[in-house]
Amino acid sequence: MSTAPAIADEASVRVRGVSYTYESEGGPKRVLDNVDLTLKRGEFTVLTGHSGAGKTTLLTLIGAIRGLQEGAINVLGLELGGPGGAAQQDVRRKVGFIFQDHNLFAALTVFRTLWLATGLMENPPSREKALETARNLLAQLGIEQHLHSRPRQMSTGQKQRVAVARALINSPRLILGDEPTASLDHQSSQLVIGLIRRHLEATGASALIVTHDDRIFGMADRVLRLQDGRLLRAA
Amino acid sequence: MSPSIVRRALDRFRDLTGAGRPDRGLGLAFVSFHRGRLAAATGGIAMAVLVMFVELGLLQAILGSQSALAGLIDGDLVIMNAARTNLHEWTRIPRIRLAQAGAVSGVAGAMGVYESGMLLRNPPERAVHRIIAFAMDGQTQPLKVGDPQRVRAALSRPNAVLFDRLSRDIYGPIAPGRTIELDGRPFNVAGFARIGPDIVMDGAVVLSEGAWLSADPKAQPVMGVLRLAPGADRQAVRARLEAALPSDVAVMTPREIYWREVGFTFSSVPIGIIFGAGVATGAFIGAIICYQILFNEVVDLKKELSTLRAMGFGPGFFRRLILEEAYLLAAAGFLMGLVAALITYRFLAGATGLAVQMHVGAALFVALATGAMTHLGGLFAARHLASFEPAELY
Repeated sequence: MSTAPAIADEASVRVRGVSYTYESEGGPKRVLDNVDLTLKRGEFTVLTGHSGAGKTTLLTLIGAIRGLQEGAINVLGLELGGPGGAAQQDVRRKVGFIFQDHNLFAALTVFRTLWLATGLMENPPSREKALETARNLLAQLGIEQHLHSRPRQMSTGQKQRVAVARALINSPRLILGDEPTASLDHQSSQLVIGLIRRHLEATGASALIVTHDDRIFGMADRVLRLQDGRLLRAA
Repeated sequence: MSPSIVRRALDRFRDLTGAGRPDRGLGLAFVSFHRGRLAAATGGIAMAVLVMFVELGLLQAILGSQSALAGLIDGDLVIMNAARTNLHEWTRIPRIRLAQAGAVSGVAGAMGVYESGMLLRNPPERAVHRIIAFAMDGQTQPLKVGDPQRVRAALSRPNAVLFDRLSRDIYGPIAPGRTIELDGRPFNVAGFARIGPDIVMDGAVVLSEGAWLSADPKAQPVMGVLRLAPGADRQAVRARLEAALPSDVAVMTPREIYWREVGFTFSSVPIGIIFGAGVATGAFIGAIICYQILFNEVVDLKKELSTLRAMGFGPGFFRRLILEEAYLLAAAGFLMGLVAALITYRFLAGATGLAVQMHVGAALFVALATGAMTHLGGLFAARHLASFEPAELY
């Protein structure tokens, strides 16, 4: 449950003094060291850095997928606590998270996958409305012909685009993406990032995208780099 | 119709089974997707259902066969030896009790039923087989063993006997017109009766009271079947009978005899425990199978289910999903088990001669037990799912 005052209007995410350490055989490894970050409304931020720098850790902490160890994170007005905190599920429901692996159900059609995601909304749309929204989203991603396909009938890139559609169908106020364009060609990457940008412009939502893909750096409002557990402005 | 059209129609059906809720109806999609697993799961649960049905069917058949005589009584009240505890114990009553009962106000007639074990030989076979022999007056017929006209006509002939057509095959071919020996005396088979064997006796014959008494003039009946006068109050007549007759006789209704027999069979021999344990074992096996299947499903889909948790779906959603799958498996397994049980009952009835039949009560009981066992298996699988952490995706 949120104990802090609601986050200021201009900020979707406020990260304060966050550190994170993994226990490993070689001893503790601190991947985040006193990180501060604020994501403003409507802002498209790219987070980059070398492998193991802690990008995904920071992303999953903000997305309430991982429990906080040190520091504080406020997401869309909800204060995140430790693992199992009451705000975790609320935050997850409000965030559109694009996973690196699409993680689609083999048994579900694309539409059923998208319709299922709308079940997270406070007032889920009717099947007909969800169908219309899904068609529209898939058309913007160039895969409208796969509305009733199953994952095994699609390429990896197409599946990744479905995962993007799944993250966007509820019009989230915050989009978190973990290498969303990793398995896409340039044209598809442009489609995905273009769709995200249009969503931000239309809704005032924010996006934090973790990527190594420098082709999309130029489309971001801000590019941040994680290095030695510290957050640096890259551009 | 092309496979793609069928597939698309099925997909639409699955989409629609959400009944307007996007997070409902997924169980059907998951359960029906892996057909091999679905077949194995349904077969496993069906096997547990079949075990329960067979145990219950045999129990009911034994109870039914042991108390079948009560169902043949064609009268309002019955007098039996007060010391007699069940129908298969032939403690007799003095024949004078029939006359005494018949003299009580409200009693229109008192008819004796004789019963004993005999040795039947079916010439030219030399082997003899034990058989139950009943005797009664062919005119009044205190036992309903067949068409009254035919029974009356058959038993009016000298040395005539009716052979129970439900008897087991051990007696060889016996048909009307054939001569058989009972305890060394020749009898003519004048027709068939319909009684049915039990777990001890393989068959039955019915003689006339006259033939019985001519062989043993001092024979005593095992029971007296009383018919009341029109308009007589059964409770009042019963009270008068209990007052008039000596204490060596008990007065009961046919229904009371039936339930006493069921209770005696159930409690005096451990069949209740034996078959009850069988039913419980079937339910336990079913729960284990269901848990194992759902557990495997959860493990196989760990990544996808963790993704749903990461998206914000809560414990209630996952519990509902797993239970939805469990109930669907239960329904499919129950139907398959029911069909298998009907086939098995047919085989068992033929092999044992017992009335192994499907009863609505038993079917409802097994359906509830199937639902309960799969519910239990589903809850355990859902508990395992609750232990998944979305962070394990990374």
